Amino acid sequence: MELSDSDLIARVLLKDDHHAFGELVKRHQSAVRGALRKLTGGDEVLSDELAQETFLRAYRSLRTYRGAAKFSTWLYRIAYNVFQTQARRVRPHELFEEDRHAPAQQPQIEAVDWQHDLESALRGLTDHERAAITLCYTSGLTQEEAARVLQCPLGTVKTNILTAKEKLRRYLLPWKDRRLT
Amino acid sequence: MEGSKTDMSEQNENDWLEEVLRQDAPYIPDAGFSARVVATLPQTRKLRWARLLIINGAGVIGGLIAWYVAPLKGWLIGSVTQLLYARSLADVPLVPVVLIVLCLWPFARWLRTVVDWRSVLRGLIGRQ
Repeated sequence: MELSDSDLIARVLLKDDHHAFGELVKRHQSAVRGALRKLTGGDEVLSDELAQETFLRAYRSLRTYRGAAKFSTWLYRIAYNVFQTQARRVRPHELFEEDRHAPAQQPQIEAVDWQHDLESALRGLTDHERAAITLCYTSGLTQEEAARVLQCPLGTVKTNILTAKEKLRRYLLPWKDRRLT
Repeated sequence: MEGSKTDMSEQNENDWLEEVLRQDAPYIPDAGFSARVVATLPQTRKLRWARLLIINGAGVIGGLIAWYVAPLKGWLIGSVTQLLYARSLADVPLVPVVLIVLCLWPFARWLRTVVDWRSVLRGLIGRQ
């Protein structure tokens, strides 16, 4: 029988069971690493380092998890805080500058990989817009949950999503027909 | 009529974008990631207790030896007595105060790691 997240958390808290925590990491690593990859503009090495830091912080502050939100939502919140700390240390424009405003309408766009183009498009967003889009669409959180993770009003999340979608739509327009077929 | 057509096309474009964004969440294989995380976790509480016992035990033994060997024993007893019977701040001897703070500081830090003060405070506030 597979143990639930709550059972595993209880084991970690009561018995300091590292295996139980490892199981929690296995369950949520893909979602956390995926979200961080989006937030860091596709930097796999950096996002994995941040994900590792996220799980370490989660382990240290597991006692403060009250179960009011889903465990994954709580993890996303830690991940976003870790990302913000990193972003304050190295400003995102320094990371992303090389192709932040790369024109989407270049003729060679057809030859560019979709993933690369999507990552470039995401880099063109602000941190808050990127986080809102990532949490609501890639991670599948509701806008209310995303607002809790980002610690901002629901209205701000909605505005950020609208602005982000507008920018992405403009950037990714050449891909529309190819992605739909 | 024209307005609703524009709304529809905008809606379609949004649907398209939302669809591709939702599709763009491939599963990332673990590939040793969780093992790496578990390897970096702090040591278990049993080991922490053992370490704490060794450090504090060594500290107490060292303190006792120093107590019997130190020539300043009389002075220290005098200072602490003066501190206990001080009537104003001007009478407080600084050295024993610093020594007491230095001795209690690691204990306070350790206490912070074993007691979740936030939840204790929350519990106290909640009771009131």
